Amino acid sequence: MTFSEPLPTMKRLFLLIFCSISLAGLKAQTADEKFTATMERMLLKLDEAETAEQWQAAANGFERVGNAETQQWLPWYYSAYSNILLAFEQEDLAAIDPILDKADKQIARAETLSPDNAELLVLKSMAASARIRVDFNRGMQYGPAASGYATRATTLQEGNPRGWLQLGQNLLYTPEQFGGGPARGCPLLQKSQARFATFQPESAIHPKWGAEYLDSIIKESCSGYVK
Amino acid sequence: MGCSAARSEHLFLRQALVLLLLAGLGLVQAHAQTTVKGVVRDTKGNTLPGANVFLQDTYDGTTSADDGSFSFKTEEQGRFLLVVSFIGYKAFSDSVDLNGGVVLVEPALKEEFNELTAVVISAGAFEASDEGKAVVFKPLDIVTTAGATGDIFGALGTLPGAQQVGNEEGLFVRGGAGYETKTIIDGLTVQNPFFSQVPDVPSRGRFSPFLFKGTVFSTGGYSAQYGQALSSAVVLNTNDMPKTGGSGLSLSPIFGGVFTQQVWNKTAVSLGGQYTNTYLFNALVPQEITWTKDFQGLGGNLGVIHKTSETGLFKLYATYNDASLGILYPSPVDSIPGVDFALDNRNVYANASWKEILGETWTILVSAAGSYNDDAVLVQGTDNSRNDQGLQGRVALTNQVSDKVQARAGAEYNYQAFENNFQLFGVDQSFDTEAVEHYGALFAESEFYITSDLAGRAGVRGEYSAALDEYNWAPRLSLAYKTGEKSQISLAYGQFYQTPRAQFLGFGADALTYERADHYIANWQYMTNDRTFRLEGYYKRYDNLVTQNPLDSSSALLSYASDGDGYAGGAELFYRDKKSIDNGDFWVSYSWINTRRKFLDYPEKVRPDFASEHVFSLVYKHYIPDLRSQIGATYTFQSGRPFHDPADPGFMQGRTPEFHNFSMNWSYLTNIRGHFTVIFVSVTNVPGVDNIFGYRYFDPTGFPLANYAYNLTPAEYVEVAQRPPAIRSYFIGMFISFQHNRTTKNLLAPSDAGEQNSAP
Repeated sequence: MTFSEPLPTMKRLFLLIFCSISLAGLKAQTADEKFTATMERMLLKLDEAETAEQWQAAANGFERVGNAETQQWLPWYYSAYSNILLAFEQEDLAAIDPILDKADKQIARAETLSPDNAELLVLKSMAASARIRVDFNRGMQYGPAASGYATRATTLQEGNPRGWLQLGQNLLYTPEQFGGGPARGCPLLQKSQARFATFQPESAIHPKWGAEYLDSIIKESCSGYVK
Repeated sequence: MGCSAARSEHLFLRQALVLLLLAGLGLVQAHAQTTVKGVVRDTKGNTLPGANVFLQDTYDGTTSADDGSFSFKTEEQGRFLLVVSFIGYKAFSDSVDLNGGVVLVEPALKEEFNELTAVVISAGAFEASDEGKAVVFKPLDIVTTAGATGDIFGALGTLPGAQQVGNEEGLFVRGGAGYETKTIIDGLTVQNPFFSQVPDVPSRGRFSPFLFKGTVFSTGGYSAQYGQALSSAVVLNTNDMPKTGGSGLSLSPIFGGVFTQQVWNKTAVSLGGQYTNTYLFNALVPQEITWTKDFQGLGGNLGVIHKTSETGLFKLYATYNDASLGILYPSPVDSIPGVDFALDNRNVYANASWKEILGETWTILVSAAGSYNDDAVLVQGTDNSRNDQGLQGRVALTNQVSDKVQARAGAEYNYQAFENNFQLFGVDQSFDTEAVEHYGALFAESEFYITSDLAGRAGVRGEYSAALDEYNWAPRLSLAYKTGEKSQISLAYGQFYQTPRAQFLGFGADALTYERADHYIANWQYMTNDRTFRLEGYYKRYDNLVTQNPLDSSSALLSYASDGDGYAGGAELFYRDKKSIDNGDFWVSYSWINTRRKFLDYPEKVRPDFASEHVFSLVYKHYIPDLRSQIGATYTFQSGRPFHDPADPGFMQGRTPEFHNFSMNWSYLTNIRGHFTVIFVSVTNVPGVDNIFGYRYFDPTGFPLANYAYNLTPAEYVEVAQRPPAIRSYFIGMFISFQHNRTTKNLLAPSDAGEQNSAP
């Protein structure tokens, strides 16, 4: 093989390396874009989910992404979130614990990728509340656990509306004689509402859910308890 | 110069770049799609909907549909790993070649071994626990049972196998006497689980149900970990580290108690104190007996829980109680005065344990306990005191061999000293007896799952008693097989030994040996989340029961031998339903027993005086959210108990009237100035049925009839019925918790007389 105007070897090499680097960059960017695009597409589906099958499908989808993207916490976050919603919807009470065991593992995995994350504490709180469904006697064990995680979420990230939502909701649904009820829960839900008004998610695929749900429970349970 | 320039100029670079593109981007590859499809099944061929089907390290995949089928397209090329995962199953993986077209996969998922859904050994056992495993009871069920007056043993008395025996201490199980049931706390046998016995007055357990996270009531066939109980074991496990601290105050007309618990990062300390005085109760509620001194009790307890490491936990529980009372037992005849009985009891008990996980699979549990019990008893001013002291130590090692096999071994040492100063009723001579016992035991046991549907527990226990200077070894075996998704059968066999009680050893142990029982148990259970049905049958053989030799002029003292024997066979039904009635929860127990035994001073083998042929209990609890109240009711029926009737020929041929008890309780949950408060009211024997436990017989001069005399004429004896001290019993009290979000576990309540209740 000959070169009509041979370039100096150094220059050839430089070009080769340069081109590889820029192409590698191009590839990295597409992977990132693919991740974001996939997540966005799946988040739309999660938003629309209404049945157990749809939540199951969402949980599975995010899990697939999580398995492929070993450095991203968000797929695990959403997979756990979908599993928790599935657990809340599950009619077979015996099936709830295994689903939440799985969600807890996913949250733990997300925490290794993103420690001290208020959003993950909110999920832990939700998972603990969901376990009470299996047997209301468990309220004594998981009720305080749920409040504990939510409280930690609010201290870790004071401006996170979901921490306050979870804490307020937990108190709202705790019987009055155990120190709960609307008089205690609703002011916290109002705090959450104020934070939703200004909350900006870090990106399009970061958690931003909850405002609508919050409005609905305030409307349902808090008239007369909030200003 | 850009890449395009280089590419246009040089063939080499062009080729290099093409290669680079091929390798790095895959852009050159055409959009050749492969379809991957199939049906997800388990190894039994059932389809699995909702499984996650995907190509490893890619986003590509799908969820299996309702019929287990799946199909997805991928643009990946080459060899990939297809993974199918589903909760409760081991992940399936298989490599697939993707090269366009259709790839058909038939994944068969193997069910993961899961203790929660696996078969449970249930022969002869009822468990109350908050932990995940399918259990029939929750710890709170014990506290909220009407008629149980917050007493663990009272609540267990509503379960099949138990007899309600109001006039003797202990839990009477399947034809066994009260002392054949042992109470075990954190692995150690408790010497005096009941408040000191007073004739004809029912005694309750010393320990508050709030101390325990789990209770196993074994009516037979229990594990080789425990021994020295012929009939039954009540295994109690104390609470672990509490999440939050708190304080509480209990108040009632006869009772006051305070409790506080502080929780730090690694340590929790609790302190409690209580005072009981039944003056008001005795004054207001008609009593069948004459109190010369109202029951008065003072007690305190200390609890320490300390995390010795991430996985290690140290626990200490110590309690002190002082109780006194005086009763005048009326004389059966006018010619002599009644019998004055006074008791002053002092009891100290301490139990410490340390649990730690060693390495990957080992767990060690070291525990020690000490007890001191002194009953200063005065009968007509004559000293009839008893005193016992005990020390115990135990080490148990558990190895999780695999997810299906657990092995356990341990050793136990027990020291007991007993002293009795007593006087035969009506005989002006007193005797002192003493006994010292050193007892050691070794045990080994394995719990194993052969499959998820077939489990077993096999163990052996060897014991040595220094007082008897004898060894024994006792094999135990249990099996359980799952016959359907919700049903299972269990079988159990075991040999059980018990050293004769210290008061008998005190008369000389030469003629004594271990009492022995062999248990054969079979049960069938059907269990859903909210309903449990259990049918259990058993046969037990008793050997070497302690018998009292007839008193004759040649022996100054009583003497005992191991000449007794007996049997018990029966069938029991249990049904619990938490679902059929909204906010309602009930259980029904029925026990039928056929039993005969010759023991103690029985001259022949008969149905013992504590064993009713039919026992029925219905326990109902109803929560009324609008009233924030839980109302409970318990009805117990027992057919007549045998008693010896001196008017007739034969022995133990009489039957008491049927026993009926209908009790109710009401707890109202509220808050006082924001503090969680429970107001509690209970009434035992609401209709006021005149229940008779048995009769005592005296000769016309007022002395007890000796040696089961029979065929007497009415002029030759006087009859006195044994009744509870009060026909109806009432309790009213309140509990206030001084911190928000208190969990009821923290209401570690006083154990004597204070009934506690809490939310469902």
